[in-house]
Amino acid sequence: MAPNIVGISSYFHDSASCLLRDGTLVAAAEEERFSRAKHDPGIPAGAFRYCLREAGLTVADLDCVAYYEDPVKKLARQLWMSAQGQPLRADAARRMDGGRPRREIRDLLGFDGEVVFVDHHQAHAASSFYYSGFPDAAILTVDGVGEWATTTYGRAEGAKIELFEEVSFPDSLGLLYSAITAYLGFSVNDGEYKVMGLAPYGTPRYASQVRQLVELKEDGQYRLDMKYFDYLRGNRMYSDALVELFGQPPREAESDIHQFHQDVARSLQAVLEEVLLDKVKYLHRKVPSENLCMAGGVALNCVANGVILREGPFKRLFVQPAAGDSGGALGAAALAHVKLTGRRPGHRLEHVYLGPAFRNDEVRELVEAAPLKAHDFTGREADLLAATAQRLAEGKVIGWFHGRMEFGPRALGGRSILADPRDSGMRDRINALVKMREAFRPFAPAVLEEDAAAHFDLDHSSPFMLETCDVISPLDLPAITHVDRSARVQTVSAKQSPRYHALIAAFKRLTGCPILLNTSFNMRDEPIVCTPQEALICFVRSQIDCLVLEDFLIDRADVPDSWPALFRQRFTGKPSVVAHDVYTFL
Amino acid sequence: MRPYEQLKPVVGRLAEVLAGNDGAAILALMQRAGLLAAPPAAARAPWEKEDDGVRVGVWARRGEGAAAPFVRRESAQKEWSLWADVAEIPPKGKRKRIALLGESVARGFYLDPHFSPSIALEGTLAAAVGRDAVEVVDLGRIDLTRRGLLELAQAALALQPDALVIMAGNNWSPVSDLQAADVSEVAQLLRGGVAPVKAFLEGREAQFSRLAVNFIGRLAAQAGIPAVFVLPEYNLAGWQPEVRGVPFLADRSSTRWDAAWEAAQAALAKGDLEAAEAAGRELLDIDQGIVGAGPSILAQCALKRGRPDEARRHLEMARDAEIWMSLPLTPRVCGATQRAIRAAAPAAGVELVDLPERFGEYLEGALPDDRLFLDFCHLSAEGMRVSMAAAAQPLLRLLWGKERSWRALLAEGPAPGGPAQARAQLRAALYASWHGQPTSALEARCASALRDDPALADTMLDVLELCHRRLPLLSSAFNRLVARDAGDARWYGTFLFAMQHAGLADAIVRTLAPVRPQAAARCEEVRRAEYGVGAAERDLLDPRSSVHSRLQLDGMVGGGYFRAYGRESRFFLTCDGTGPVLLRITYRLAPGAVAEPVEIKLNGAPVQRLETGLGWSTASIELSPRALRPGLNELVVRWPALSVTGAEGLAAAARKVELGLAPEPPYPLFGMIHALTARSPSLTPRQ
Repeated sequence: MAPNIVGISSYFHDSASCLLRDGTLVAAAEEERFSRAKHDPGIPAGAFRYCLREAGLTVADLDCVAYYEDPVKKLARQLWMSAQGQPLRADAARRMDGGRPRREIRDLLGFDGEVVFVDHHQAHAASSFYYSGFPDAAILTVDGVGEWATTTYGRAEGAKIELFEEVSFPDSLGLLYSAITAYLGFSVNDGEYKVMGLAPYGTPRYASQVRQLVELKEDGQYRLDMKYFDYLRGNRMYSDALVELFGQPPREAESDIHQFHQDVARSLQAVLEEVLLDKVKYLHRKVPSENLCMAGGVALNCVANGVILREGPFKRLFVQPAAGDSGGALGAAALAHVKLTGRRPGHRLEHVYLGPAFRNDEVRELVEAAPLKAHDFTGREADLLAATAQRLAEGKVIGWFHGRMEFGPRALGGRSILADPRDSGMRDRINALVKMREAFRPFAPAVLEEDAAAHFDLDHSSPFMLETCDVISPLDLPAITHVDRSARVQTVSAKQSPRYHALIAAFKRLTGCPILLNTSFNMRDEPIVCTPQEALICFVRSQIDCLVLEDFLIDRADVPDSWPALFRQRFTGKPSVVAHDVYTFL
Repeated sequence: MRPYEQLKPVVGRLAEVLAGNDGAAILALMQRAGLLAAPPAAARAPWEKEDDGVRVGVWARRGEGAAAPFVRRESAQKEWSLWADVAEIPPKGKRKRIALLGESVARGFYLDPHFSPSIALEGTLAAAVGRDAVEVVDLGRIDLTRRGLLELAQAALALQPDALVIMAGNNWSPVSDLQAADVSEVAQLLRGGVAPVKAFLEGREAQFSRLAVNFIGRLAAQAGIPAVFVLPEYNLAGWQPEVRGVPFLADRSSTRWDAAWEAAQAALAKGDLEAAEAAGRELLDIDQGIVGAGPSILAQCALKRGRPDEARRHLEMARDAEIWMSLPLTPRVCGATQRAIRAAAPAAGVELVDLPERFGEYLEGALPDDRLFLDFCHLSAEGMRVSMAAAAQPLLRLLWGKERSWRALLAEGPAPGGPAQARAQLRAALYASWHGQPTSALEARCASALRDDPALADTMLDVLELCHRRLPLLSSAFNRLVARDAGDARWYGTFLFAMQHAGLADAIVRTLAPVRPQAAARCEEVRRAEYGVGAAERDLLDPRSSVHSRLQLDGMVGGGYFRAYGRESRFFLTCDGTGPVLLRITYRLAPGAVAEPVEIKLNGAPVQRLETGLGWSTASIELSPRALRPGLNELVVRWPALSVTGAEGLAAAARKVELGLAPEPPYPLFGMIHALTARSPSLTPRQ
């Protein structure tokens, strides 16, 4: 049997769909890229249709749809929360609806075959191990919450995965991180990585207070002191006791950031790393493999991942690049494959270019219909790369659109904004031009794989930008070097990303620098662009200097004068549809 | 052990029980019955908010005190196009200030900024009291709801108006204002059919309308200023109702309804009024007035027989038929709203300007039509002038103590120039195409536009191109519109969603034929470039490439696949006609459909019959070049009839209402299409 299986994750945040054809991952994408609603939690109808289209299949060709959690267990946890005082919301019936996944897979996706439900953390575990390429591994999954589990420990070999221990809700490292994220004035479900970026500016002077929030217990267990948390009772993550503990009022969103906030962020990060390191050591005692697989939202904490790899007992670490809920779709599909065939699915995930690509012809139609002067480099890739590299070397900021869109939260050279990392003003400039984000947050470097070791303290490839390391470059790289001399590196190989690699190489030939600043191609609070049209609109609305759309290059000077004002008003993006004051438990 | 450990098996078992088919409904019903903790009820009416006096619409006070101006907020940019294009509302001066609030009708949809009710009212009053004595602040907002209006009215007092003029009622839907308890009742009634729901909602609408008028009256009384309510009218004679079929009926009479509808249209086309009337009465008898089809047929017969009063009665029934829909096909004021406002206004101290009455006087008893309207509810320049003359009459009396007849005021009021009216006609043609009005009506508007302003030909040429661009805003044609008239371009920029319709393109091509003979060729060229079938598969379910009218979009609700709510589903296919086209369709019948083949027709001729079942099937069909036309081709999928009972469909819709979900349209579903693509097998894909 060579089954076609679709994996689905939805109803928390970052809904996604993927397609496995006989165990091979053919396509994967988040729904937000199609609906254009940031973190879209709805059934991923757009992503589902895309996956079928990409695979050349129809819904009739599918053998199974796999869903990334068990709705009955989730409903039990929701009911339990109501019993603890969490008020039933006006839309409780819609949210506490254990039949909804199956019903919407039938009604809205149109699939009437077998639906397989797998546990949330099983899906996380599978999403990491089956795509790691490791023959065996220990598994650690850590997130906010799925059904009941918030952290699990497991072992895997071949096609078999066994999760042998779990930490249950409401004890949750993810929710600990989210609660302090909220206290620091950032959005829950969205701002956790900002706290991680803020941490290096502080000192861990509040670590003892954070340690009061979470107590390490035997084996894999830990326990939160719930008097500091309010997420069981109300619409706030933390309680007044937590405010009292830190001795300062919570920070208002968008207000100034002070040393106190930086110190709390650093303390939180330090304690998270302590706990994770302790639990990773425990896991290694139980599963003495050389390989560790991680997934779950907390596994997106690349700083902690770096610590685990450097200071922990495992030799190799694989973090599934869409480690959050969207990646659960991959795990669910993989587990369904095992169920149907008894065979291990997947290969080592070498890249995440799993989303839609657009033909150069389509881009041509777009630019020819528009009142633009676009330089056409069709059939002249070397010239395109030379022209782009020249602009980068001149300090221009480039919107870069090529090939298939990335799956997961990171832009890795398919839908990226690129710039010269040596320019000390570049971080502020990109923030002003397009990202409009907090000044403290660092941008990431993309480095030629073969040159990585000369510039970063890194002895292995890091294609998914999921760990940090020290910058050791002889070059001055202020735009990508964090305050603690660290960087979140993407290594770029000629095999997986030939054009992107060739562009960086062209930049190196001009400047001697084999590194580019790389950030995602989107405006603040909007999903990353998916189509050439969205890239063009984002380019116009922002102040990016130049746009490379496949084989076409457009300079800002060649955009009609009327466009920026017109587009700023017309396309202001959809608001996020996920609540940000409290974790989306429902 | 924490308490939850003990509770875990209990909630686990409960979850198993509740995860069944009825679990979510049980939770919803328990919550509504008060058996579970419900969210706290609002202490105030939903539209009553603490007003900080700082914001009015998209404007906010800049500075302290009454002397500070209201400046348009940058953060509200997304909303700007819905309001008057006014950067700043100055502090109140010596002139009496009238705040005109309302919906797109008050906004002067189509004519703004060249002409609007605000301009008409200010000009009319100025002619009577002098330009230095009066100013009208335009607070019209497109898509303003009842709740939005009442919030706005409260906020508008910060502008220190001397009077409020309310021009609203077209966007008042009882469905959007229902309370939680109403929802349960609607669900219960829906099981017995749509007609009881309609009756219930008419009652609620009357209640909500009375509350709204009372609220306005109280607000004005507290501020010590008069409030004038301009009661809307509908374009009864000029707008052809859209009929999307009949929703589920409680018995099996849908098939009878379909037959009567076909018979009525055929009889009317033949001029057989007796047969048409019989069929119209049968439709009304079957659906009990929940669809506008029957009354519309009867009205057309009455008009042909020269009975305007009878026609009005039927046309009003047709207008009011779909009050049960959460989103009627076109905004409209319904009879329940009109009656409630008329009844409540005197007691609430609100001055009423009854447009149905005034329009009747102005047209000397004739039914309201395209003289006063540009579409279903939006007024022509003439309609605005009459309305505002009628509104000026009480304002003159209340603010200046002057008595003038509205007819005298009408004669003195301002009017827009020909070019502005021409632009409005073209815009109205665009909107009419979106709402499936006959091509002849679109052509009449285009011709009128060109007659009033021959210089509009180039704009029409660009609009023609925009009709065919998948991304019209990014096109050179749009850029030319911007260069020619930024305000005009802004309007088209806002309503581009309505433009991609073949009917409009055909009307423009025919209108332009004498003066821009190249239009037809240009139309074809762009159409093929954007939608032409080539080597790569073209997705015919993409609404941008294949939608005939707004109605068809219903089929894509939910996004996953296309649902056919009628016997025939129509799609466009554009090709050069020189080679074959390969269609690929993944389809299935809806439960309850008769097991007969699905018929595929191209340009009216049958090309294939497909075997059917309840599971998905995929078929490939080669369309011969002999059957294809160069350019636009119409592809029709005709589904077998249904034998499903209406009761099942109604029960399913009721369950969704109970769950708090917007139900799918409670129309019978005939079939579904998951994929429909076309490609030219003779071409090789290019990179």
